[in-house]
Amino acid sequence: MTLQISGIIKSYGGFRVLRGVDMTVEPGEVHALLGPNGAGKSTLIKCVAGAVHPEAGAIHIDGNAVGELSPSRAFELGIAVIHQHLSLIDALSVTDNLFLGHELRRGPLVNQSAQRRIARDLLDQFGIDVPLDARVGDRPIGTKQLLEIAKAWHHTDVKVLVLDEPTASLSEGETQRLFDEVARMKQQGTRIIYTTHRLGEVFRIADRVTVLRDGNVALDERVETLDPDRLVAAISGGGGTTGRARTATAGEVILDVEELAGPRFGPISLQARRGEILGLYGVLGSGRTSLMETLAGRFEPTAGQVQLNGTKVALANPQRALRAGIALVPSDRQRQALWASRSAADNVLLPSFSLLATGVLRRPSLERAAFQTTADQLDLQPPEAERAGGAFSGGNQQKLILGRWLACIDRLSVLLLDEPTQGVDVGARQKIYHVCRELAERGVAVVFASIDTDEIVSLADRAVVVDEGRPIAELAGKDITEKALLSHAHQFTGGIG
Amino acid sequence: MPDAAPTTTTRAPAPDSAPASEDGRDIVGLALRFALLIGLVALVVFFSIRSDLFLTSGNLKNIALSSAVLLIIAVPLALLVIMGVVDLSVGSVVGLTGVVTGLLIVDHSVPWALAALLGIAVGTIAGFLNGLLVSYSRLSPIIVTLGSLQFYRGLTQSLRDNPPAGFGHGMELLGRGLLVGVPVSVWIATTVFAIGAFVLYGTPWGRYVYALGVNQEAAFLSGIATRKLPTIIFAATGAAAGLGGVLFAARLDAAPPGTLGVGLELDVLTAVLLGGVAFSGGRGTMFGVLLGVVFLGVLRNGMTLLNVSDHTQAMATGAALVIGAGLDELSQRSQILRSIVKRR
Repeated sequence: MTLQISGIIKSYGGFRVLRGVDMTVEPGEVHALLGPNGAGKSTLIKCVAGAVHPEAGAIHIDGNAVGELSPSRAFELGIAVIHQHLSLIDALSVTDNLFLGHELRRGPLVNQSAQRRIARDLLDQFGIDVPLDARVGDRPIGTKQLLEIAKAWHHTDVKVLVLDEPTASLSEGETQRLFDEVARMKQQGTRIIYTTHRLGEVFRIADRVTVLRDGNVALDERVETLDPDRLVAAISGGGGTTGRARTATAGEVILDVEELAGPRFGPISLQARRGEILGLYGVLGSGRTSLMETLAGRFEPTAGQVQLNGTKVALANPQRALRAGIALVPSDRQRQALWASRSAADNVLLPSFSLLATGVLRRPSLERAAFQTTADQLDLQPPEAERAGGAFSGGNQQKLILGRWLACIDRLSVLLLDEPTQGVDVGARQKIYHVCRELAERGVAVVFASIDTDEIVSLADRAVVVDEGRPIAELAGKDITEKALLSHAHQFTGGIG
Repeated sequence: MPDAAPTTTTRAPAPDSAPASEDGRDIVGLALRFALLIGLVALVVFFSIRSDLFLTSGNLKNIALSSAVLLIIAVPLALLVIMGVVDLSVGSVVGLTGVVTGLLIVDHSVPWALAALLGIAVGTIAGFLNGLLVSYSRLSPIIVTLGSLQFYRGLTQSLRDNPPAGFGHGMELLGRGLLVGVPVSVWIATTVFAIGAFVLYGTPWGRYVYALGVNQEAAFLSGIATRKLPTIIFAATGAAAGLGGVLFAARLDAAPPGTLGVGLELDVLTAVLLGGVAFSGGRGTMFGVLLGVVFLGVLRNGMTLLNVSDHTQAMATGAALVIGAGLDELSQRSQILRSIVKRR
């Protein structure tokens, strides 16, 4: 009587994401699904949830083949997926959220008393301490997550619960609360699939682990017999790639961050040297993005200071940070960086227009030349100045945004890149790495943050591992390996975290 | 929507929409893009056939006169809308500045030119206050300027009960005078239009205006002054409304506090949106704004010549806006569709 996934194959546009994946989840089992980004975890979950149809393979629940799944069919069968981005409506009350779309009725009216009675029972069952009339948006993320689980429970007889990165944005207390609930559901015989980037959690709650790598199952083992080193090795792919031959000789300190604190990070001290590429590695929710955005003036720091070339700088807003010489390639391209309906030239030259102008007058010929230089440097495809930013592929969109700072690089001394190759194809990725190295050689301090160990190993001269907004380890040169990064991030160095 | 224009030839680096059909087969898409221009030509042809008076120099002067003030205010307002904000208070600012100018001349014997400049200064301050409130309070520009629409109108009416009137020779020249056969206010409107086109296409700020309208967060992270720039354009809109108020008062030779400029904000906004500026921001051209203003002017003038009643005129204007915006939406979709097809 199990959930059995067998031989799942799925391709996107000729690229095989899942190459025959098997996975078995027994009743009362917490099964951790792990793997690096792009290994196929999300696609496998989508197959189970009916959001994606596999080309081959089968899913059985309690020995019965489920056939072609749609999201609603999967839910009826008792497969509930709790996504990282919750589906609750912030503006509605707890009760209204639990019954949204399935209100209990008395004639044309909502049967409030019956709803409240059932909601009360649900909250008690899940040990959620929140008033029925509380506005969901006012509650912490941990409570929302439990509400989402309770909601699924109310609407279907949950047989398989999929938790996708549930702890990424939870505090330690909230995580423990969630784990207590997971343990309780497990007692009732629910099958739980659980994905996480925090490997320490695996040893806290999981019974069994499946590691995906490049669409294959790289490891399938019960937790009792699992050795942390072997888990890390499976995720990083054997010995893991080692760092490139590093010839860069780091110069004087350009960026000196002292005890800086801000939203969800700090205090943190860092130094970036002239000609060096510094990588910040951390799992989801480790505070990387907050740190990067604070350095770029997006948020005001709450404590500490930043020195640039020996002078203290105030990072009150991005304009001030830029004037001081710090620029950011943000992590969320669509929301934070791209002007999708504007031309490629606008996307690249926006911060440069005033530099290229004579007084207030724009100089089209200089602008064309500047765009052309940048497009050549980045191998922009297609190299069309008038093409709308949104009409480029993800990789080329990222080139436009990197190009934005390349076009005025003479004014910059620090370039920050947050997840520089997220959603970027392999070719563009190599080009972006290449340009980063060129910039470092030209004397720019390049600081990038990534969740991808492979990226840190390929690009960083020096790596700092960040967890819960604080630096916990530093690696340099040949010591930067996927294995070392994972071990430090999950604190396996001194036993199981 | 209308893009190929005198202004487009002078601005080189960035077009404001994808180039029109490349294979020439996409006649529907092309027609949609120039729907307003085609509509304007159709209107002119229709009114010329139905009325002998329409294509006379006197009537064309009327159209130009009535369009001039609209255009003066529409130019900076269009910049605001492209930026993703709006100013609903321009009608009241017209009233306020017209009355201030008028009572300075009539009650305080201020020379007309100085009074006019002071009137424009009052408009600039009124717009600047709108801008400060919108940029630094995080309140919706609709709320702020709906509030100031009421506030400035009340302020105007508190200044004087009966309209100041009889402003003398200088104001008469400003309101009805001709320069090389063309009304002075039309010259002023032409200048304002040229300045607007220069700002939008010839200076870096024009790029910032679009960038703010398309993605404010990206503009902020790219170091653009996301508060200062809108505040300045709000002030410019106030100044333009001030200029409009002075011209209206000059033409009427009176400034009635209760009616001067009432409802004008809706006319200006109608012209701007009819001209293909997206109310959600990020899209629009100066030539489109000019077309929108002229279309509205021709439509109203022609209907008046044909003795169409006021309520029918209102219905026609409203229908024109909705149809125009609808065609524009269709045109946008066909362009997006085309760019997707091209990508495949």
